[in-house]
Amino acid sequence: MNIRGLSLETIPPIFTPFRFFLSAPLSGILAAILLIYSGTDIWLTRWNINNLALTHLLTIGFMLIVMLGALYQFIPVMTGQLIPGSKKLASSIHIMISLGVLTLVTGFLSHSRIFFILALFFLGIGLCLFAGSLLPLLIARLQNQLIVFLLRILYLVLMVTLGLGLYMLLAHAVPSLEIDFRNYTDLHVLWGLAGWIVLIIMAISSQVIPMFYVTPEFSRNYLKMLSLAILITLVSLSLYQGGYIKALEVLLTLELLIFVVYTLHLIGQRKRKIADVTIYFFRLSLVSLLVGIIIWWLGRYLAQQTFYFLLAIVMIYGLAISAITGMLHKIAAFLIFLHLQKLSLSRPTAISLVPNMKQVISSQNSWIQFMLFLLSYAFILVSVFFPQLTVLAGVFMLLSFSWLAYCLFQAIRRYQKIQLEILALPEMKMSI
Amino acid sequence: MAREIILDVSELEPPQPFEEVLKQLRKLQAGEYIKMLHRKQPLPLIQLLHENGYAVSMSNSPSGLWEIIIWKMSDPVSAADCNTQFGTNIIQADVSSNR
Repeated sequence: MNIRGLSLETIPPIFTPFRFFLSAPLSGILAAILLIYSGTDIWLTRWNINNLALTHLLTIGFMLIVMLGALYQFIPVMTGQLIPGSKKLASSIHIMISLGVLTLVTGFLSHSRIFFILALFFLGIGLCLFAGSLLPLLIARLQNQLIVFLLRILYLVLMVTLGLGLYMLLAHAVPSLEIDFRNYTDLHVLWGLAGWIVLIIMAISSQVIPMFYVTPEFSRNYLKMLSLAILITLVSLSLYQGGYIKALEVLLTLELLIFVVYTLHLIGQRKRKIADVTIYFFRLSLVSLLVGIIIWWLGRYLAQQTFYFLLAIVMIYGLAISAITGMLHKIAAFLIFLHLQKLSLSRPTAISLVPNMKQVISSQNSWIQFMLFLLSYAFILVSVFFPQLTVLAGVFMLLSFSWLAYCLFQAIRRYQKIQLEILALPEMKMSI
Repeated sequence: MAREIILDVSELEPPQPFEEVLKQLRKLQAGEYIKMLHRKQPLPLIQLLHENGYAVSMSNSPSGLWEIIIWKMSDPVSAADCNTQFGTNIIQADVSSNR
């Protein structure tokens, strides 16, 4: 493999990813408060405005924000190239998308046009800046082909999902255009759930599972073909409305089933059999995808609203948010460890100050996170059938996201404290 | 001839490979270099090594593992030996990157 063209600047400043990681749980907390406030009303219809607001707090405010932070951190590590302009643009993109999600949610809740216009402005600019900054990197020749391939497909799928979203937002912001946005809702949901979320999990799994759990590597060709097959299937499902639909749905189901079975098999082959709670988050995520597939096929026997709700909960909360929550515990601790090691290299006496990863976020705190997440997930699912439990589900969701925020904030405070202690020590070059 | 210290971290989970190599580097004597065997290219580690006066050469071995050779630039014995043996795969600091 060619090692030329690698940039040695592969560690972005700690707050480049952390600004995204720290703000994401706050959207989750807002979503939980909205669930508690809505109570049983949330399950009346999928078009309920509180429902739309809650979904977008989780998908844009939590998932997209964490994904952006993770891309800023991991693209340089995986490809040897920083995202162009990342130092200057990351904070602007973060602010634009955060303002975008807040104004969008306020728009849904107040049904006020001005907020939809603001949301269109903020989200439009934020996403264009991000898409524009990533594009030169994705069309360049890069090494580490598997993740680059997956990122290219992920980029395309994300652009379709967000493009459809912005188009519908335009319908809300400028009603005089008379865009029949409901025609595009199902497509937006299909690309978001079966495309974006599945590809995020595939991209995270392909890197994090072999690296942190020391399993065999994913087969490159297999994941490339699978992600391409998913893209082609989604395009076909969007363009053809005829009799092929069932066949395409069967195809998509088989593709996703293969991914779940293959990934669970890899996790089972891991060499380090140490009980690590983050692996349970990954397993929960993959089992959720399996349950999502079952719901998809058995959905016709359920009431239509129940079907939509269960599918959205299992795919967004179960598949995506569980894996992302587990990953945040692991990588936040790792990044703090890495940055403190970096500082201590030129200060020989500082090494005793650097905590290990388990001291940054303890195993006990990660276990508490898993239990809170599991309880919230279970109660949200059950409350679809027993709406009187909705408030309780919201309380557990609030606890889970608050705990995540607490773990991340206490980790970064610890980093800042130790950083000051290390910087106070005398510096020596060539010390290790 | 410089002495080779082999460090196989290919079955360790992060951040142990990182900790192990730093531990070895602190003990590294003049006339010694480290051959690290890893399943990944540890790019952040390479950045830190460059910033702290180490030279790094990296190549993919037939077993599929990455061989990362690390020596002190200020150590003439290791530098001469490593430049001869691994000179073709030395990673140069990319001074043009200023984004």
